[in-house]
Amino acid sequence: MNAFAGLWHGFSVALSPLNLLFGFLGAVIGTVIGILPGLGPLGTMALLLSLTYGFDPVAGMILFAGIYFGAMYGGSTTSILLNIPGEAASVVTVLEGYKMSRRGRAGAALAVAAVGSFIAGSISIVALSFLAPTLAEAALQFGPAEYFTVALVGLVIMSRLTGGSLLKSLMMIALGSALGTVGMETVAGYMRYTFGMSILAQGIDFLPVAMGLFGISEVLITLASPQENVSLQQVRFRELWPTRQEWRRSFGPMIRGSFIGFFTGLVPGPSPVIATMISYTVERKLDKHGEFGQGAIEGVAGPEAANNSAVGGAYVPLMALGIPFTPAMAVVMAVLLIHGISPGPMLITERPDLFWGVIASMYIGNFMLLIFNLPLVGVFAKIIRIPLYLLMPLVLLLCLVGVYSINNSILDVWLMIGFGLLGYVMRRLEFDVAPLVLALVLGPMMERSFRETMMIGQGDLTVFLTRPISATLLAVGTLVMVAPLLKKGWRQRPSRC
Amino acid sequence: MKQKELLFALFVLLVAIIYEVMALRMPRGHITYPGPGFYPSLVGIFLLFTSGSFVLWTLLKGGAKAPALGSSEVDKVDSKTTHPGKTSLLIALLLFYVTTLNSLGFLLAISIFLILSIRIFGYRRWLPSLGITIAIVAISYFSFVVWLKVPLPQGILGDFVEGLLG
Repeated sequence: MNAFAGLWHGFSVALSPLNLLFGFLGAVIGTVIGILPGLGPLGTMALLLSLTYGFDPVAGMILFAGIYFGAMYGGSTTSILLNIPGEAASVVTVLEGYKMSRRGRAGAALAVAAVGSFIAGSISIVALSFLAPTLAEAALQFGPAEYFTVALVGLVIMSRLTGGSLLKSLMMIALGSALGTVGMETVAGYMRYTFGMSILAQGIDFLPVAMGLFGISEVLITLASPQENVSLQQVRFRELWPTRQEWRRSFGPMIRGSFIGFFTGLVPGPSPVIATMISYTVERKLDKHGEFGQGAIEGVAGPEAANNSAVGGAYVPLMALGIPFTPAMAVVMAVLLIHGISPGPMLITERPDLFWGVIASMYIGNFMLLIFNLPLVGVFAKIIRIPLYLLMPLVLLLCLVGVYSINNSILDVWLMIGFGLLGYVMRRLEFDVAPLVLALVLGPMMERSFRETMMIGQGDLTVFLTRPISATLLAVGTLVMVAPLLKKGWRQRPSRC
Repeated sequence: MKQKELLFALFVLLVAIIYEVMALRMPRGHITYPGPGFYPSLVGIFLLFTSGSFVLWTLLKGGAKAPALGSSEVDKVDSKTTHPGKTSLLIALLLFYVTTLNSLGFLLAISIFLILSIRIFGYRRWLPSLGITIAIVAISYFSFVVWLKVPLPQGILGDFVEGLLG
């Protein structure tokens, strides 16, 4: 099935009343959580995962795609109107968006953010439609050595891109990998690190860990932080239309942001956040009007396009290789796994309804989000007034019930609370918890691939260097690790004069 | 901050030592046919290396400059930005919920949890808190237990609720 035929089939799936409803719900929930500071798309998807047990997997995937895209749209609203980024990928939008708002151009900033998000979302979905099947076809040639290297290099790149200390990120990766070895080992059935508890034989599920590290710890951090009163700026519908000059200045950044976002999305790590930073830096360097820092529209258009486009890019490795490169994609993968579907190169041929249905729903959802985020922007912005004493207990309730419902096990509740406390401590000490979660998800696959590679290659470690794809990936990983050190060394070299 | 980081890294280092010792006691096989302990022993070495390096780095780079725990400098910063009392109360409440879930049952445990957590988050009036709690518990019970058939523990109210719902 080629991409056009696939998309045609996908629209017939996505336009069914139930799937349309789930797309709509996902877009609304995503916009709301994008607006609310604290609970991001990952935490929300983890909370709602238990609900997807009862749904068709296509509907579950459509719901989650809507949430992920919606969060990117919603995050800009409070960044522009209130100087409060709803979630991490909208932090950069605050820099220019709020300044525009103070200059009376809040409506224009919101419109440019929404239209930019729509254009970028559309570009990334088109790219996903064509790139994922091609990559999946290439991935059929992958052996265990390639899968091991992809995961290893993915983790290495992530440790470099999280922005904090490299040593801290590597420590988190090591901890996550260690947690991934708990449970019954698959070849000989040997029990590892279970301490005699049969309940640990299945290993540590990443969901209680993710819900604890992202959900519970977020609530604890919110409680521990001082709360500020917010004053909401009103925006009338007629004020939403940017001037002709503002449109002209925004178009280039939107297109550049779309491509920056999509390609950043292919790389492991918090891609929407990184994409916004790259886009902002590029636009600042290309600035001809000298308005950066005072409310430059390019600084809103570029990053807002980039964070949406990164979402489409992040779906490519999951749909084509079955490897999630971000914790949010790991939760999306869990939707498939709980329904007995293995994501990977065969997904497109074995479940075309799911693959193309989800992609088609992204087109529809993106259109829905444009409509929500322009005329209804004022309504959505008021959501930030929901008091914390209502919102946070509700989040905790969803965490506590949601995690129990995964395996109907109280151990999962204990694990979630334990990792919530650990996450609270780690985040206060500025440890990024995302590499831990990703290493926990990828760990078992890495061990399996490593052992298979060693058995097939008679223990020859050079197999990772003699297979072209594996060798190329290792070279990229080494470059990513070494380049910043070389750059630093070059800058610190003694001058000859 | 540096001192807290150091304490955390020492904790991870301790975990790494225990992890590696346990890995070395597992059958490791041979590199041509790796056993169950082969990969964990590599992960253990990586964990030892990263946590050990972090401990050294913290000691060499910033440990000397870090203010001691309990010193006025640390306390001044923390008291401005955090509410440790409230956080501890919420943690205690979470532990209360998980330890009493089986005995009290979901309805009672979550009701106590919600009404107290609303208070911890700053809302002081009991009667509206009770109303909010009842509404949230009713919606969540029908969503999860009745609609999605999640078998949440019934506890001491099990017979009463079953009788009520027929």
